[in-house]
Amino acid sequence: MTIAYNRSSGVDASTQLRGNAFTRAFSGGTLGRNIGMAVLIFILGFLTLYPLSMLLYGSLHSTPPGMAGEFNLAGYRAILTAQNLLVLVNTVGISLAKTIPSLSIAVLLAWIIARTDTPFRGTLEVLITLPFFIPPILTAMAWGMLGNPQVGVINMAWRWLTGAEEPLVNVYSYGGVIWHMCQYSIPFLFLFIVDAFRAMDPSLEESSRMCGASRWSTFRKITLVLMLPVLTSSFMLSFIRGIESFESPLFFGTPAGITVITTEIYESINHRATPDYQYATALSFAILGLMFLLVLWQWSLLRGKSFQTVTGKGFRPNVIELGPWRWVTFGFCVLFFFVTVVLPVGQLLLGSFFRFFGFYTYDMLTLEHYRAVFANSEFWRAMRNTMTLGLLGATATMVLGAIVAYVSVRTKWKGRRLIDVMAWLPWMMPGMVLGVGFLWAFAMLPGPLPIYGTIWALLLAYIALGTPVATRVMTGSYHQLSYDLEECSRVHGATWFQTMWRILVALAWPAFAVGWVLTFFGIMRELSASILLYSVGSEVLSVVLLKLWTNGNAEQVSVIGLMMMLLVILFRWVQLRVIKSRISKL
Amino acid sequence: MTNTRTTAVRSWSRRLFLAAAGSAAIMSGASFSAIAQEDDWEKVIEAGKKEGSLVLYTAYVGQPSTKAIADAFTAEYGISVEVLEARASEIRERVRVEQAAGRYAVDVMFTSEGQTRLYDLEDKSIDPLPVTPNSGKVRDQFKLEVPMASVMTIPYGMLVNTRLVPENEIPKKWTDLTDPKWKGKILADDPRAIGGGYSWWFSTYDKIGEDFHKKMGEQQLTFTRDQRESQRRVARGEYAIYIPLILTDAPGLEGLPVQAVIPEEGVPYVLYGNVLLKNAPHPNAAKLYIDFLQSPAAQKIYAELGHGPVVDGVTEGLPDNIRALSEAKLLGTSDSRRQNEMLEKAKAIYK
Amino acid sequence: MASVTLENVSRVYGAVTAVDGVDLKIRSGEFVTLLGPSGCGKTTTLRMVAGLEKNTGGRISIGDNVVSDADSNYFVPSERRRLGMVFQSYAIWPHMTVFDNVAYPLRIRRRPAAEIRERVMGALRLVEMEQYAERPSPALSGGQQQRVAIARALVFEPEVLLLDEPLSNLDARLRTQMGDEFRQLQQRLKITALYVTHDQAEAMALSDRVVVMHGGKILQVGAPEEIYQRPESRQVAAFFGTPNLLAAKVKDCRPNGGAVFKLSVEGQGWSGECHAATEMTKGADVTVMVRPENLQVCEAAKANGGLSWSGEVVQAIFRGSHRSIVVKTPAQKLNVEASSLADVGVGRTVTIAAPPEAAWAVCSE
Repeated sequence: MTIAYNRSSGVDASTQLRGNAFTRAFSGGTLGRNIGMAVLIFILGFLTLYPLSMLLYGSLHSTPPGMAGEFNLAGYRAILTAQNLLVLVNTVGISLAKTIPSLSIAVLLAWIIARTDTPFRGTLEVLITLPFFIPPILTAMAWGMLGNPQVGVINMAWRWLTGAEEPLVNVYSYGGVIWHMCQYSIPFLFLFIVDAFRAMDPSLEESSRMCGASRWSTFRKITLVLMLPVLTSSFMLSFIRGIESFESPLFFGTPAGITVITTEIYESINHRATPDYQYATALSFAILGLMFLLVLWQWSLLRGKSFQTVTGKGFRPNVIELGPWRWVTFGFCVLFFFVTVVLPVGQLLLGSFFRFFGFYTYDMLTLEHYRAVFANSEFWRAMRNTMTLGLLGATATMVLGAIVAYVSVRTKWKGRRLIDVMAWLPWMMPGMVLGVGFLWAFAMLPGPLPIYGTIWALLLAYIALGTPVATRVMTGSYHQLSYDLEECSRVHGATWFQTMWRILVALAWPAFAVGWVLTFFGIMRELSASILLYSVGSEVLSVVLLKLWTNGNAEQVSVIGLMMMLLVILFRWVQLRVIKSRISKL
Repeated sequence: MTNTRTTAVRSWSRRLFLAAAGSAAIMSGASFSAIAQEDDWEKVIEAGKKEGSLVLYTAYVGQPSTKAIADAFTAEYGISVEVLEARASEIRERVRVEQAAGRYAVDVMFTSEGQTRLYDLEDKSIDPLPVTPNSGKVRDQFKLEVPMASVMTIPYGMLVNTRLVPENEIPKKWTDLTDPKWKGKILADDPRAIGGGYSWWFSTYDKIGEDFHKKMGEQQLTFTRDQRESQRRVARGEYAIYIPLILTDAPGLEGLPVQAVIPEEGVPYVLYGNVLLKNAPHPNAAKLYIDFLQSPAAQKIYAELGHGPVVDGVTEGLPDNIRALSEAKLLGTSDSRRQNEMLEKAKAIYK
Repeated sequence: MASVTLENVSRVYGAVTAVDGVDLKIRSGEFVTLLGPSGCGKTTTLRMVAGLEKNTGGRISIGDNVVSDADSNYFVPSERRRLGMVFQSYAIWPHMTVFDNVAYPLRIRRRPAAEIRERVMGALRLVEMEQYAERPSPALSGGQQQRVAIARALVFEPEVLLLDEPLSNLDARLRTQMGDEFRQLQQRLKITALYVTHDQAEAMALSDRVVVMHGGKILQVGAPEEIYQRPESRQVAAFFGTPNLLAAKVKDCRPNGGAVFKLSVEGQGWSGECHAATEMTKGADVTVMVRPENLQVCEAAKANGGLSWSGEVVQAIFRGSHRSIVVKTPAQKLNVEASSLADVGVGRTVTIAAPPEAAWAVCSE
């Protein structure tokens, strides 16, 4: 298999052994490196292993931490039922059914945006990612309005057009659950892989075409294979997230009698006579175990291959000229934009100017929702808190993720596998269970450590929750950079840190920025841990949104959702502009 | 303000003996004798003001009433109230862990009767209730075994879409819903999970009977778990009827083509109240707050929102539609001791 | 510019010895090339000098300073060795302009902006790339990127310049041109340069001295001519071009002035005189190397004093500048580079001859 341009291929046999010789240079084991590694393991251990070990205790103990009880396996025994097996099959099935099409569409979109001369692709790049940043509950509501079988706009239009009796779509179904999940997966995956496409030397593809491969088989055999680290990472992230998805199955699945693992866990905590944490945590650990197999699979898939597409040999910015076909790809992007953004967001935007969603008559027209939001001092305080936490948290998370990714991808240090796994862990735990883990962990810290009840508890939880994505984004990016770029900097006088910052971070900057935005909005949206950790005075946006939603102020929630979307557009615009002016590569 | 209040305190202080004596049967003797002295409540007020602030956890999320009442309390005593809101299971776990870890952060918790039982029996995180000046005025029905100072009820009714259902066909009783014409047209909060739907199921099962539910089981109910969104879905015409409607939401739905119905049999309800946390950092302020919520002023705020008050005489002068809600005949509530049994039954009937 | 000294330097990976006891001294201002086939350890040696790998044995010094000593576990990291390096892939940072790339070593060292500007432009002028300063670096051709890489390596006047197959990514014409330009530059600036390549022509054209490596060891160090004409071993001899290597026995050996000996040798069906670097005992087995370009097609009688063979032409390829023919002699097939004018078709019987000074004997291993 042709994997990649490899700087040293066939030139020097000793390079086979070298791996990353840059760090091998230090294989004697310097004190600084060992201390650095120990600090890294400590930080990750505190952020991930510690809360998880509290949860593990919870799964093995008849009562949650802090209560008298005994150790037993009742939780694990309780999850071994035929019904749970069905739930598991259901969950995995739904997640696969959404991940595979999502990934295909995301790859197609990324290719169109990054590698073809499709018109307006710069604008489209920002627009098609918007659905990801809207609170899921809002798009769920919007799709409920569009696609309910009785009076959904789509079905009404269908009946009017065709005279049919039967509805065209019903979002309260498997299809609806999957469709709603796809709206989040596609932009997420797109953001994740688009820069990988962009950072690829076109000559790698061109050489394949010179060898007689068609455009399609080049895409399949070279482009996709070169993308393997990014694609497998994003597949796993998306698949695992699909298993842990909660809003979509709750909103669209429960009415149709569809049960998935998260709704099962939710029910065991919230809808039983007494919350059954032992059952919930045991079930979560079972899932974590299964997910871990995926990580092993990815390792075996990537082992011993090189995916360096960004080499020290520059390449010319090159897009494929599609000729008249570019209007087809343009049309595809616009269609995607229309279906996933205009339809639901249009509903939210329209609805925000009327007293009630879905009742668009002249006398209902109002700005009261905007006024209410702007006059809500609690909202502004929460916004301030969330922005502070978001800016700090996203930056800290990305720095941590970048370091973890660096160590696990670009060094041969002992323990790099360990930190790679540790950085995965928070992703594999369903959010609502992990939230409980953080609560237990921070509250049970020895007295002198004042973390619980302060804003630091939220910050630490956000960093832990964001680390998997941050690490994956950076891992994918680092896989692509050839070692020369780094070594060259060292030889020319830059220290490890200078090299890290000026070369690796600078080169991985697009990925860093995307990761930052993903993490930032992850923090803005996070509820499960926030509600268990926030303290009086440190309210965050998601808690305020929950309050508004629970009080029936869906319209105000949309106003805030739309504001968040504006923020995304602003961030992305700045980011893409900065990239354009700073990084001459594109 | 403080002056008038002080005289008010004096005036009822005399009655305190009677009230306290009347409720002594269910109140602990120790707290009774501790507070029964004429001047003791004055001391509580004094100490509470000195504490200056109070931390309240509430499981009744997103309600503007929380802030309105906290503001009224602050105006009354000059004690600021810091509120932390989260859903029942989240609040409970936070409090449980805080207590286990020795981080005593919260003074008062606003929660439901069922949750109180868990706090009291399983977590052992709450103190017995103090006897306070207003506690005696609570209607007997709302004087509980568990140490919760009742504050208000959340009543449940029906929501009907007036575009889909003609005036004369609007159901008036819970039993009207068993009419086959409603088959497939009812959206319902899921009775198989703790929540509004379950409260409805529990009390109607107890008061109306299993037969009613067997017939309801034939009606092809569609179950959801989001009460507010479900109201809107009925308003938009997806379904003709939503049960059970949190009746206090009805005023907020004005302008939509829906009508709230208070069934003739009565309304299932959930009783909310305050509990006093063990090792509360502001115990006196907490007692003042617990007392304040049973005062006519606070009770009136709840009654104005359509909640059922727990004392008499605060519904006079309310607009008719609100008064109908807050005076709605109470059908019954759920009993947390029978929870597992009733959840199983619900699952058997509503598959 | 500083000298570089390698004393008994080794690099072991597990059970594999990549570099085995290399001793080498590169004088200040000297251009030394490490030459050898893939896997001979030349790149590893270069990287150890660069500090990108740590030697597991021996000592490396740059100028008077030891930069790495395996015995005392002393190791100076790359960035403190004051080196310039040109990578095979050029390692041009794609996110920077040409100017930024070249300015990098100076910016890292926090030089004032005015000085940076001056020196970067100076370095770019040196490689004739001034007009490209503000270009995004990925938009350059291979040759231009190579020049930028050299400018970057030179800009802060490094102690030593290291080059790892810098020309291998260029096409043949450009390779020669860039090589010549670089050699001129090196001589003008008197840079100490350590150069790695597997291309013998490149090595000979550029270097003051060539180090031939094989299996992690140095086979021979010497000026290009010396290595080419007077290899010390059969391996070194075989490395350059396609020499004819004939087995023979020594009949007589006598000094021929200097360090060279004159031998009379006899092979299968041939005999004659040749030179050798060492004294050989009578009857010893030797390998006689005759380079194809030194063999001439001639009349049988004219082969006086030198060596000659007769045989049938079995292959003849016209190459423009010369004609490659293969002659089948009783000893073995011989490669000959005949004049392109010579009329030697396949099937003809010819005599080929070489003067004694063109035949070089080494011990058979």
